[in-house]
Amino acid sequence: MENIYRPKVLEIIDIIEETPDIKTFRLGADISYRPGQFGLYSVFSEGEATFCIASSPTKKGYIECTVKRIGRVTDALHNLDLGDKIGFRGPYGNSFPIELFKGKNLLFIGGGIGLAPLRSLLLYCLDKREDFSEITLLYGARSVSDLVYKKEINEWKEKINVFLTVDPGGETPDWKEKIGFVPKVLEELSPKREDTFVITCGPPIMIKFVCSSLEKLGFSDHKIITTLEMKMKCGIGKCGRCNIGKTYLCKDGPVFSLKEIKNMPDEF
Amino acid sequence: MNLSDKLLNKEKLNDFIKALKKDFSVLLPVKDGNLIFFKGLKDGIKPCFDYSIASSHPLKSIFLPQREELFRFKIKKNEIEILESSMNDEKRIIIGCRPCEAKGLTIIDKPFLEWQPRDEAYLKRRENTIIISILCPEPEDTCFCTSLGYNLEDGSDILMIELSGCYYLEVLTERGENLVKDLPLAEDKKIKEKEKEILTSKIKRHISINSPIAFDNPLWKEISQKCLGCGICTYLCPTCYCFDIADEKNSRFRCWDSCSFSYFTKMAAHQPRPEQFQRYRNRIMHKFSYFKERFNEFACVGCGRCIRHCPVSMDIMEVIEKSGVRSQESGVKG
Repeated sequence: MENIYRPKVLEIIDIIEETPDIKTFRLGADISYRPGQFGLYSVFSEGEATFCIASSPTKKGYIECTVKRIGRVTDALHNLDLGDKIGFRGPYGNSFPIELFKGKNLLFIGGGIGLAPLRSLLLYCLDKREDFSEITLLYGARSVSDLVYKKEINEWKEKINVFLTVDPGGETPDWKEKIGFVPKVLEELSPKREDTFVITCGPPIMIKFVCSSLEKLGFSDHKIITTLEMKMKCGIGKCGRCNIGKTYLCKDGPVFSLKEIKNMPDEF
Repeated sequence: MNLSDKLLNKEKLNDFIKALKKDFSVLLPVKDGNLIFFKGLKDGIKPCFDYSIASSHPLKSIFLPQREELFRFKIKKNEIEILESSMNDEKRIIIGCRPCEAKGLTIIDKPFLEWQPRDEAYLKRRENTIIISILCPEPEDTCFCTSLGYNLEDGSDILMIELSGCYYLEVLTERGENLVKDLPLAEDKKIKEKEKEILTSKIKRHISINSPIAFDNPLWKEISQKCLGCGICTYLCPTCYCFDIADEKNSRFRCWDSCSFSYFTKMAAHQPRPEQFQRYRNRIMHKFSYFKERFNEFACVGCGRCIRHCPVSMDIMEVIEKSGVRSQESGVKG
């Protein structure tokens, strides 16, 4: 009998401190997955928690997750060292519709740790750069110290357009990038909408405002793609808590177009 | 294989059960205080068949235990060894559950077995357990099964109907047939339909649930105002299956959970259902709208337990009546 709740045991092979309370863990694993999918990560005797896979499947031999220290499991994860083992179940869920993106312009809009699921796709696109047209990233966080993937973003700047912003008051004296909430900066940038898909993720409130800004800018529903988060325990349609209306995030999502989201009740 | 109904003389019931005990573990309804639990047949245990459905512990607990170990683990320095928990996979027969409870299992089957991957532990228990339900002697005042439009036979291998002097055994599956092949044939098939009709005609509460309830209906706030969020309705419900997964020192387990609880959907930085009315709305809409859209049936069997045991007398039927669209169609198909 196959135990569908039994995790694989993976070794932590690298840890990157992103911010004072966010770390990225690289886990040795030979797992095939698609950008946008998620997993259930566990610290044994502490419990399981759901995070996206933040790495790209173009890189073999490991997966990565980016975790904010905020509860029992994430606290325990943050206390682990290189060589320690954690549990992983997955990959679960649907993924970003990469086929639709081929040859198109891509506009990534991330907020806070919501950049993690976008990073999987972004890294994929960087590795297959010739498959896509212009790529732009607009990324914001509450303050400069809350921005994740800082080092990588500098490297991305060589291949794609990058705009960074922090919420008003979150800037440091030497901050040279933008100041302002992501939707506002987005409207100021007024990106071109022709042949462009937008992929966005962040706190639910940011996603909602970004979507309405995008609509103001003339982007159509089906070209706005986001990935949502709800509490999950099983990841496979059994435990009954990740639904938004009749839609189960673990089975039907977590990736949806704004067109699909408009058919859901506003309860996320 | 032709399925043919059989008769079991009441005096032969004990012999029949004894014979089953050779190959199966037999579970029967037994009175414990004011409640009915399904217990293994042992000396001195007296089954009770004329119990009230409203006061019986839900049958789902036999298939989806209230607490179940998923696996154990050993942690040695930084090595982790996962050990599979042993599972009781004995062949079992449940005799004397109510038809609505057997139906409830077919509803839990949908997400657990139709949606991939299948829940293997649950599947094993379903496959290993034969269900002989018994037609209720009388409906409770909180029963409304006839409003849900399912068949009384759904989910049972055999449906037992008490007649004077004997039990009529309506054989519904091949594995049911195998148990009773030596018993005398029931010649008069009309009698079973008549008994079902008599029972269903005694059910007083009727409602039609045809149309999804509007999510934005302001009534949700009003009708759920007194809900305490205690979760008893979900724990006792034959179709509620939500669970939590958590770790103890050396094991990971799952246990029943409830969409009535505030932490059910609480995430690190976000709570999509912060108010009780949203949680109550989700429960009712899941049963009568979301589940129906996904699996084409309601996630309710009309057992009435949630009405009987609610500490503040919330009545699921009143809620549906207030919020839903009523129509004339209803009725359990005998």
